[in-house]
Amino acid sequence: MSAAKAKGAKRKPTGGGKGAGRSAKPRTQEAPKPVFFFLGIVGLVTVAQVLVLSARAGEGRPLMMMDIWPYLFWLVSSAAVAVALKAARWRGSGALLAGIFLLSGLGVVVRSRMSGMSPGVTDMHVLIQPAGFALLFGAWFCFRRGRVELLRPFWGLSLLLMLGLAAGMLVLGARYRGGLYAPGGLTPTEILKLFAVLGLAGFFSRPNADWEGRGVFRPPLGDTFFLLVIWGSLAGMLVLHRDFGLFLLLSATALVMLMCATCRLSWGVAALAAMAGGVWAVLRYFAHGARRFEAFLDPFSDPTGSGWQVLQGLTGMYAGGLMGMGLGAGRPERLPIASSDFVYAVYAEDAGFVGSVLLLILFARIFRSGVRITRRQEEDFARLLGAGLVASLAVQTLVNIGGVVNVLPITGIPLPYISQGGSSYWVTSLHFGLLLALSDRAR
Amino acid sequence: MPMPDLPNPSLDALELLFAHPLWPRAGMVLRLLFHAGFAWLMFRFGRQIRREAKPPANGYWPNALTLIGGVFFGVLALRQADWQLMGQRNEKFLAFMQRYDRREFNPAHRFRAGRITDRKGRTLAGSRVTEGGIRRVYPYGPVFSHVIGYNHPIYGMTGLEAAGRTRLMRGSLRTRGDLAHLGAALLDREGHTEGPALTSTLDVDLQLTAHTLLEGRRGSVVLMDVRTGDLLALVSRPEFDPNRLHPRLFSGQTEGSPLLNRSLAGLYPPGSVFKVLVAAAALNGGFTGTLDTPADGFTTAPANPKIRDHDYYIARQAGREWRGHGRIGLAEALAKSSNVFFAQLGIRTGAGALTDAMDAAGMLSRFSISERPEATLSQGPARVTALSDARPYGIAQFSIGQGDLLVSPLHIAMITAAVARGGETVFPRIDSAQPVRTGGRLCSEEHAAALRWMLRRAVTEGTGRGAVMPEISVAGKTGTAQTGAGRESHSWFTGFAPSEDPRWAFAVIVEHGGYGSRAAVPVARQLLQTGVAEGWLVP
Repeated sequence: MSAAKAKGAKRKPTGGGKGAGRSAKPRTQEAPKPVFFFLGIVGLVTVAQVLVLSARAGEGRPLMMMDIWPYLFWLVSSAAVAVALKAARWRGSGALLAGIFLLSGLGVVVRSRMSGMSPGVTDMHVLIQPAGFALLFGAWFCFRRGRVELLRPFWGLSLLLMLGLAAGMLVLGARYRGGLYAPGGLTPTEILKLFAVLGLAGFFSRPNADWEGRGVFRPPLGDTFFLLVIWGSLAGMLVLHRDFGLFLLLSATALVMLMCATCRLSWGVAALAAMAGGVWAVLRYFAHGARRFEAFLDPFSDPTGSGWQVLQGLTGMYAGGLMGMGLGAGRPERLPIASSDFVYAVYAEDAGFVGSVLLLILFARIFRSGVRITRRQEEDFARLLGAGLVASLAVQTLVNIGGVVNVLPITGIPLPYISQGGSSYWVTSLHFGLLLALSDRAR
Repeated sequence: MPMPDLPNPSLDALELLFAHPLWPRAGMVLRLLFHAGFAWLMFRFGRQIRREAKPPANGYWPNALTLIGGVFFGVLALRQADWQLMGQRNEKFLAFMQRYDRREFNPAHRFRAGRITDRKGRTLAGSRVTEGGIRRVYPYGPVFSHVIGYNHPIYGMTGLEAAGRTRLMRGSLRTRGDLAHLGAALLDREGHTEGPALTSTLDVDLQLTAHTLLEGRRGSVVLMDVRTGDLLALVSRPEFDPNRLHPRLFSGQTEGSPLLNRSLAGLYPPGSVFKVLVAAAALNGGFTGTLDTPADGFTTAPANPKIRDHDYYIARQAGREWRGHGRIGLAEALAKSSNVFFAQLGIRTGAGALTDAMDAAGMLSRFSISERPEATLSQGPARVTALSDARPYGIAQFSIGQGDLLVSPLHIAMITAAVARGGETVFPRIDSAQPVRTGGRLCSEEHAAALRWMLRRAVTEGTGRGAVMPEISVAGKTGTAQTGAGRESHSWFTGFAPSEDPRWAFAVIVEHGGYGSRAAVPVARQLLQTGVAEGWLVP
């Protein structure tokens, strides 16, 4: 202890001198040139893409143009979005925009790393990302600078569409792997996330709504009844879909919005109790859910059966270790549904623990920036909308990664912007587009 | 939506670049650049967020929500670190990876299993690093094939290799040495770290002798130390070479099922060796007197075929008349192996007492020979139809070791060992680090002492005369178990030595070897001679 002190004391003069020199320099307060940030992002994604290609060549697989089309599309569409934003006099949050660009770029590379692993990926899939960016830009353009208020009156329609879509899927959807899908492998239920957020935000911010300051013990009775009916029927339909994951996600989002609307944390406490009851009911009455829950509690009870997927994912991670095998150099071929639910395990094997933590930081920073944007909103509707959008994306991220690292049961919820899948990508793009629109208003 | 296909030429220039001899080094730099660049961007990202206008302070609840989210992210990272960086701490996880993961770069495969040695430190199984990875080698080849088992990337693991797996790999972190080992393994991703050796209770000399004695036969030898339950030799033949496993072995078409570990998994009618257990149960129940043994045999009802003594059949074959043993006591009945006597004795003792005796000997439930219950080295229960006093003929058959009764050689050795050590059962052990584990009591000390004297008499004056040798005094019981028409009987011999202060108990079975005295006794005799010559047994 004393030795350390002495050392510190010895070093102090030089260290102090350096520190003084640094602090003497005037701290630059103006933002750095955004173009450098953008170039940094492009550079990082390019490095990642080159690593994937090199690993592919190292395996002796031929390199085709098809391997880099997604990357090129990302490059062009990002630049196009940046230029279009500039042209439309963008004044939103640069941090959020940068985060979105980087996340989508990493997603493109990770997905291209898995081409050949997931059969049925065609030219069409290359267009998912640019189409998502078009939606993102469109959402920003339509609702920028306060125009988001235009959406407020449509809360009733949103809730109706949410229920109608769930009911329609129940009638028309095709069963596959325990869920319901529309023709073409689309999952229209993804858009429920957006409808739920829009509907609830409008509902809570009606001019005659009286939610502020209302804790769980004195809720406005009429509104509460209405909500219970809506949510009860949604729960019934999604449980019939066997889509517990989506229901949990929507409920968690609704809960955050409720807490934001009332400024009362007591709702959260009540919701925890309700969730415990729900988990009990699922375990008691639904074999499918109970199996997943058991596999979560002890994956080793049936390592080659119900525990196989999560254990294979963890095995890949362990093989990757601290620094990873390098992007594209892992061997996740034996991991079931690696490209959607378990994409994080693939990334963690490739990029190692360090790369995974950096990705977690990226997600956390995107959400943090979203929270800041939300808190700067002045209108109730915009504030609730922002909270709902951030909550929806954050819960998806946490639940997906939580399932992979065995903190939560596996739910089948995709990782925003990283997992394969068109519907989810576009809905996430709309989320981000609306957040950008909110940020543009706040300045 | 119809869409023209994207042009898809091959990228020859890139392939040439990646094929360049300097590329691997550049790739390493790029990998570092990815992490460093990502970290730098995250740093800039955070600064950018802070730079954008600070939100107003409006209440505690948004902060609380943000905090919950942040904590959740932290939990994810910590949990991931627990799996990704410290996965080898989880024994089951390590075992899972070693068994099912095909990634050769997985560090789990670099945990080289420790050696398995015999009680004197001679290697029975070791790891050798070859070009294809790590290979298990078995210096004694087929001699220990069943008890040590094998560990093969395709065929899996059996025997002590499977049961001692976790210890051999040092999957746990209990001591400071384990921690140092973990540190070395984490730092040295290329090297191999070897787990600690597992010292088994087996002995190479005794195992080799027993193995040679069964040459060309099918059968099993179990030799255990009666004081500790240490298994000194556990031989099953026919056997296989764990160094040369081939698919035909596993097709189920090989002659004589060489994969079967007859010592534990073999199920045989015990015949007369089972009379030791019946005698112990009868003594425990207070039996002292004599019973009449008519030459014509004994049955419970006219419909059941008569149970007769062996001498009856010999006499009839020779065309002579046999007058029977007459009225005899337990000692003489054991020496002469009188079926007529034991059939009656069993019925007198009763179903309850006999079942209790089997339970005390550990025959009614599965028990593990090596510590871990999930591993494969365990002894299953004997196969027996529930006894009932309402069906005396079933008890009569049971008492002479026939009927609906199948046991393993280890079961018989355990009964004998219990008698030899004063009536209390000891569970066999094969890992010398395991504690000695005793089971139920078969009979009291005095009864056990009486039974030891009787079994000594069965060797000196009875069916086991072939085991009499000048070096050491042996006590035991032969058995000749009928196996159905047209085939020779199984030949059994079980016993202990020295008879006055027992140290070893053994059970020998030679399938279709005929009389117990003909095939099994010589095997035991030579095994004991080796024991004396090696200084194990002091007469």
